[in-house]
Amino acid sequence: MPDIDPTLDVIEIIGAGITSMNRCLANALPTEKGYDELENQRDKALDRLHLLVKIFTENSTHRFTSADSDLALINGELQAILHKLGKLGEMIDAATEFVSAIDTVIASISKIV
Amino acid sequence: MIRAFSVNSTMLKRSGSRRTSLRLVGFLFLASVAFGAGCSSNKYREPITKFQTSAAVVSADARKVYSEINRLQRTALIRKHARENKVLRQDDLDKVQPLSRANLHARLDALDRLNDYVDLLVKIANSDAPQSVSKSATDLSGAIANLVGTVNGLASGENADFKVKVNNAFGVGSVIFSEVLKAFIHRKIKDGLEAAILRGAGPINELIDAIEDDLRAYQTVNLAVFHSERTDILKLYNCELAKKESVRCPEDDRTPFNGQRFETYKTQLIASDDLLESLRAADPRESLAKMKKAHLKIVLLAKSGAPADFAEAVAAIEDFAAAVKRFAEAVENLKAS
Repeated sequence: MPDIDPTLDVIEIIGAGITSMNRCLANALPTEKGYDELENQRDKALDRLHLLVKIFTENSTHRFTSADSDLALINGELQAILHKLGKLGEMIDAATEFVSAIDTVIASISKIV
Repeated sequence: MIRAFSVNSTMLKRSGSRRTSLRLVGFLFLASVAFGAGCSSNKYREPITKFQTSAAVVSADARKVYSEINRLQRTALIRKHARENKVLRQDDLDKVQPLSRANLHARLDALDRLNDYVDLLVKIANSDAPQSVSKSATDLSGAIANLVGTVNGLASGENADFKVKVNNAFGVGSVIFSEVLKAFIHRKIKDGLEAAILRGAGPINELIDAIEDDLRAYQTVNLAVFHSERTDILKLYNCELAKKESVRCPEDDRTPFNGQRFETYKTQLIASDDLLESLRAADPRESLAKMKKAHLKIVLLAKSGAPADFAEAVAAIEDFAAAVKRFAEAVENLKAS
């Protein structure tokens, strides 16, 4: 069961709130009453959003390090498979050389005998 | 090989050895069973190779987002302070940059590992080991046939026992040795791939989820910041325009209407809208969801080996590749704006 971090949901809720505030500001004139106040509230929300994204990033780093070390193990096993596949060919080639050498020796001996 | 077969056939006829006949039947049975199952490792080639191509693009784009997020936030803050004539401190810059060096490295390392994993799967799926081992085995069969021929050519008498031993040890097997080995390697590759895919399922899904969550958070903060920037530019644009009618904004600089400044705000507003559009289009979540689905289909294929799952895996990967293409185009637009 993966960890459920509510921070991400809060981030998206604040993001949606900022979008709504920006829409209100964009539809009002800067000379209208309450414009500056809404702008200040939006900037405060942006500060909170930055802080939450920083915390979220810090907290989720362990998910990457954990996946990284799990994959490192699996990659090691895959490399071992590749290595074994390469080795098998080398072993057979060595056996071929060995058999050929015996063949040469026996042929030479049979000529002498 | 022909020589080996003729030597061995002759040997069979001559000896009529029950043990040799049984060995031949055993080898043929093993070869037919192993060879029948053998080539199934090939079925992973197409889906895994396609998955690799698309995963590499997603990984490169995620890397781009990670590398760019701090710069985007920093630049936006510098522009905001400049617009508002506010003092800028290092603390202000540090607050808006979400990724520390250590956190960035942890992410880039995991992406590297994901690429390594997929590359290794592709290497194994496309391995020429069955062919090269089969060639080596054919060479060995030839060498053995030569040896058997040489031994059989020895004068009879005291060599008779030695001849029987050599024939029993190397005789019939050499004929089908390379095919058995080839099938064995195919089976090894298939088993290795399936085990790796099943074991990799958990970490890969977790990694895709973690990247997706990060990108959700960064997409939210990017949209919030650049939407706010657009609102601020719109405010300056409207305030400048208001001066024409002698209406003043609360933070007005008390200067008269300036046509050049108005043009600058207009250009900035257009650029800001373009940037927002690119940001919305470059949302990578569609690609990541499709990547997860394509990966799941490969895992299901590894579990069942059914042709229907193979077809579904290929379809899911093609879907994933199309989503990646759209995302890559959007990222290019974002970079250009």
